[in-house]
Amino acid sequence: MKHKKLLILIFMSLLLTGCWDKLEIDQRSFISTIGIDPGKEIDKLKDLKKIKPGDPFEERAIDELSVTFGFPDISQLGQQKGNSAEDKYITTQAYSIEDSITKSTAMSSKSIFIADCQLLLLSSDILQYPQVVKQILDYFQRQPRVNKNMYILAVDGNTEDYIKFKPYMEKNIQDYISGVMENSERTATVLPVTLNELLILLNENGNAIIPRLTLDKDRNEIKLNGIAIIKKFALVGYLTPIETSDLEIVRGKVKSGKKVIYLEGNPVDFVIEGTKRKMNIVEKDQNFIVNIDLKLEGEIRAISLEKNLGQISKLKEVDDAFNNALSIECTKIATMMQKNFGVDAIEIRENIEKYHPAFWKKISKDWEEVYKNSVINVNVDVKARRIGVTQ
Amino acid sequence: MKENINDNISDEAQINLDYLKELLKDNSDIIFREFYISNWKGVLIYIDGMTDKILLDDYVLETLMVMGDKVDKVTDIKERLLTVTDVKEFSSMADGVKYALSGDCIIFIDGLKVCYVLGTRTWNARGVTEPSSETVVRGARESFTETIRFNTVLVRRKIRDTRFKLELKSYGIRSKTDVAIMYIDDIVNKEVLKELRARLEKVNIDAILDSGYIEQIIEDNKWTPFPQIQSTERPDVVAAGLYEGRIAILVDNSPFALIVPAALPVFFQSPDDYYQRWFTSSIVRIIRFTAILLSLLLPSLYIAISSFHTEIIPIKLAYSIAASRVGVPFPAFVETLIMELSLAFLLEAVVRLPRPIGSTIGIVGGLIIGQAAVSAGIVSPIMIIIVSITAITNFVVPNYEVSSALRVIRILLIILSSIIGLYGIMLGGIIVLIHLIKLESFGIPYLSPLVNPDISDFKDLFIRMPMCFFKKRPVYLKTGDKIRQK
Amino acid sequence: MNNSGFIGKYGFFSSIVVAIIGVGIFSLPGELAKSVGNDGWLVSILDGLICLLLLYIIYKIMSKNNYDTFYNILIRNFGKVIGKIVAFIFSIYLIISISTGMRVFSEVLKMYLLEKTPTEFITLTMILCGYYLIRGSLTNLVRFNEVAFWIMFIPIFIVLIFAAYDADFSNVFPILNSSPVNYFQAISLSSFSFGGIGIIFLMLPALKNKSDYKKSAIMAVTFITIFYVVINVLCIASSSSPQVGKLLWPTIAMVKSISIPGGFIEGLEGSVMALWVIFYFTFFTNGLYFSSDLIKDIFGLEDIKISSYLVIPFIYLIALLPRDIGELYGIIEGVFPILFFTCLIFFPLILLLIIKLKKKVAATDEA
Repeated sequence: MKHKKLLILIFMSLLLTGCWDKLEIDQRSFISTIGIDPGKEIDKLKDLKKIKPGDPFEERAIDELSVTFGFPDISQLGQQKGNSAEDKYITTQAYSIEDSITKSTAMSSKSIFIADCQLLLLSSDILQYPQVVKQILDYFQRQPRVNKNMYILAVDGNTEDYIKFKPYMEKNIQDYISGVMENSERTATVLPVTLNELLILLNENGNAIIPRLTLDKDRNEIKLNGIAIIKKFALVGYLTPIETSDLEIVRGKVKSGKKVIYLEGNPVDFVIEGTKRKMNIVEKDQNFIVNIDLKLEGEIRAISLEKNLGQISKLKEVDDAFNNALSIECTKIATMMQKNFGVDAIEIRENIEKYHPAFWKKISKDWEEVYKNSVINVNVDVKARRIGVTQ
Repeated sequence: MKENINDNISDEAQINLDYLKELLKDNSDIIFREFYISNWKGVLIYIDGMTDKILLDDYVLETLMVMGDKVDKVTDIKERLLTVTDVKEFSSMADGVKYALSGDCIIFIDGLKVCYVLGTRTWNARGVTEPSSETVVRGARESFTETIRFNTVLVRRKIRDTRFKLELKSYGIRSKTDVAIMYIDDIVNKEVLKELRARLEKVNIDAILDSGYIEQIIEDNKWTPFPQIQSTERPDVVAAGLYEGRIAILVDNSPFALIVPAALPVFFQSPDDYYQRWFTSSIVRIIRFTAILLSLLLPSLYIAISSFHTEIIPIKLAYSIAASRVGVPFPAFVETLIMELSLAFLLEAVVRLPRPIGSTIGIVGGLIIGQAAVSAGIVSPIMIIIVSITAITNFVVPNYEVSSALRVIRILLIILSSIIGLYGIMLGGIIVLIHLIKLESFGIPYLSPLVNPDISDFKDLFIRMPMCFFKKRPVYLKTGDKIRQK
Repeated sequence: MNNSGFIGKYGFFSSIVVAIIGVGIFSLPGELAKSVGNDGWLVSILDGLICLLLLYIIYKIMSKNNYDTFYNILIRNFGKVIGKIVAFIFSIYLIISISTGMRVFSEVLKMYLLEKTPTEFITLTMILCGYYLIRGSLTNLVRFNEVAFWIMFIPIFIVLIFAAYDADFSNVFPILNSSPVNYFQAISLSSFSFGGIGIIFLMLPALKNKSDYKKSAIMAVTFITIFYVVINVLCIASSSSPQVGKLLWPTIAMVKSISIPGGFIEGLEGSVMALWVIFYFTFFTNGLYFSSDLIKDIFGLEDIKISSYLVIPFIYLIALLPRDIGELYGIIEGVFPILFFTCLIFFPLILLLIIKLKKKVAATDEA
């Protein structure tokens, strides 16, 4: 009994020592968007190498980043006012993300809280500095409480402009972009990439693809404009939306999208409803041949009022036309990725690693060369299963 | 504390009469009637208001006084002249006096060293009505009353087995309250019976006013908010308990019977779980368990999530909560405590108020005060929702004592979660679990059948399987006869 | 002679499972990925087989000694002095394993749930709760294990099913891509996750039906092995092995990346963290009970409450000893396998040898 009393006493005294982690929810500022631009002093990056680890006074550190935090204005939310609010934002110059958080907290009346961030925008300018990009991404990887499912996009120009932009359909840019990303199930031209996926890809060999955002200042519109290709942590090029949709098809990840051919002067829309992909790798001395077989299923949406698709032969004609066109397009895009950019976005590398491990051991050192010199063939088989409700 | 009663009965009725008149003086409702049965003097003593006077007038006094000369010997009076069915003979004055004070009538006759006690108890008792707290949708609507004899009848009607046993003893030195133990001999767990008898022996209090006194004296552990003995107003619950091998205790003057041993599952069962079909009952059971979890965890989770770990909820919900808390002066923890306190006040007041005002206060307190608090900006709207759900789910538990215990635990969890968030809730949960594990009720672990499980016991815990699966009696009760149905 | 017993077969099964599965699951996939790439799950299976072997050895030891308590067996076979030393080393092994586990647990808790709360506080509160449980007898400990088993594993399996939804299982290929040396290394690294198997020494004497042992124990080890295999496979499937090797606690990262379609709960790892409190708690209390029990016998103290007073300060000190996470995992990966080998392989084998020798001597004596 004496033990029990002692126990209770100790427990209670422990409990009274205080609550360390308590922070009321209305004291938090929920950052929903982070935008990273190059800072004013980014040209002085070389000077950083001169600072030795033991040196004091880190204010000599260089403000290489300009970070913008966007967060919703909570007073606009509420019962009658709806669930979405305009963003407010804070921009600071800092030498690292952690520093930017500290500086922003000093400027803000509420605690900066990035664990719920939904959107990360990287300026195309900052993507020219691989060293900085590596530093940024390491921060996000090391942080335990960060939303690994946040969307990452590369933007043309300064992210600050984008975050301050007021889109037409939503109240703030984060809602808009998240909405578009979630809609990507319906279109093949948008390829959403989450932080988790990006980190996995970059950890393997420093190459990745992320969607690209452009701002049309004259018409005051924001557009998702294909993808940006990253090689060894630096931006090396872009793909247009059509090329993106082709790439998506080659990757076998399209759940819904459309392709068009011209048949007797009329555009025929084929809406893709499902994709199956098989990749076959044939080893050939020090190189390899990749044969990709794609089976697309879908529905024909429109042709011309007079035409009849009901007959088998007509449908087959359409199918064959699609087969040809798409096979050429896809082979072209795969080869372009391979030869122009040297980036493997269709998981050829993974396939070799998994299913041909001995071969992989042989060529892994010279992967880039071997990849560039190999042959990629894409064969598309289209089956238009439905044609709508008329003949 | 013990009374000093001269235990001998003299064979002169006059001496007995004088002794009793002295012992029971200053009581104006005790009637002493002297009469003659042919040549022997007799004395009749009873309490006005507790005795059936018609029986005494027509069947006792008339026969004794008028037909007195039909017997030759004094000892024949009982067998040949007393035309009353319930006659007991005692040679101890103390016993006789006790019966007299219970409403029976005692007779002393010259020449007899014993007294006769006639069973003439009768008084105004409350009729058999609906139970006040354990109402069911389908099932009997009888409930116990305050007279022990009527209560035992209500149970007897449901068990017509020769192995059904009813033992009566009186406890309480001044109150001498009748306490009956009922069990079915070949089903009952003999160990528990032995333990119960041993604990009852130790009862040494002056008065037993209600079964609650007995419950608190014989229970295993008083330092816990959880009841270890089941109390019920319903005879069918008692009968069902007896059929499971448990023991029922009826206390005179109390409409609440006790059933031992009791483990936690018992407190989450309601009688109509068994009278309705298994599908409905299973769903109700699942709802009940979910409600209990909610009632325990909801306020503490709210504090943990909004003050510590906002990442757990979807971002839109976090915005809603933040928006609804704009302008509220108190942190979430204080808000919760304010609402819990108001709820406790409200509940207590509604129970005590006279009936006409009671329901009004319920509406006033609930809706208007809550709404007003939100408008005044003292609490946030989310808090009102949480507290109302908590209050409703708290009373989904069929047993009042357990729901009070749940309230205590809820407050503990609230305090812990306000200090260390989710970790605090887990630690609180673990502590409560450890406490429940250590608890035993008459040798049966409190958390049976979750501990020492037998697969067949799960037929009646979270859901209720169809009747055809109820072949064995609950294994955790370690009953004598194990088969219920073939 | 110990024929009495109160642990049923479910109690035995659940006690072994919850006493072994502790904080090892956080880092296990990562450590294995560093040595053997994608074959972590194979190593788990190998570990399971080794445990089955250990089960058999323990069974032989106990049955030949009439299922007496562990301490008595040591004394009887090693003699009083060496027996006490062996028991002492065994309890040091247990204390170190629960203390390092405690530190891992508080580090993970601080990382994901409570950033600013001091480690001392987390350690102290956990110790107090554990003490509250073991104040009772072994009966209470086993009862707690029985209940905790359900609370732990039903939600975890639901979470794992959701994890499997998005996972790419072809990441498991290629198989068998590392050298045998790496496999040995991996087995020794994973000993931390299987270290709790010594708890059988404590539980077996109190088992009600000794014939239940084989079935329950084998089921327990199978369950644990399958659990570890599933966790390994899911980690690799959701993030591929270089990533897994880089993370400190890949299991938690895997849970974080689960997105339930149409999902209500976003930050699943917060809730799963809460669940892991119980995982560690059972690991902790079972180890604490066993070590306090041994200390009680070694020093002849009368009650386990007093001996646990001796043990608890050491747990606190050792838990706070490593300066940082590097040192902590240095201990787990460096010191622990040695202790494991000594206590759970070396000692039992020697015990078995001595018992066999004793039998031979007894047989020759009679002859």
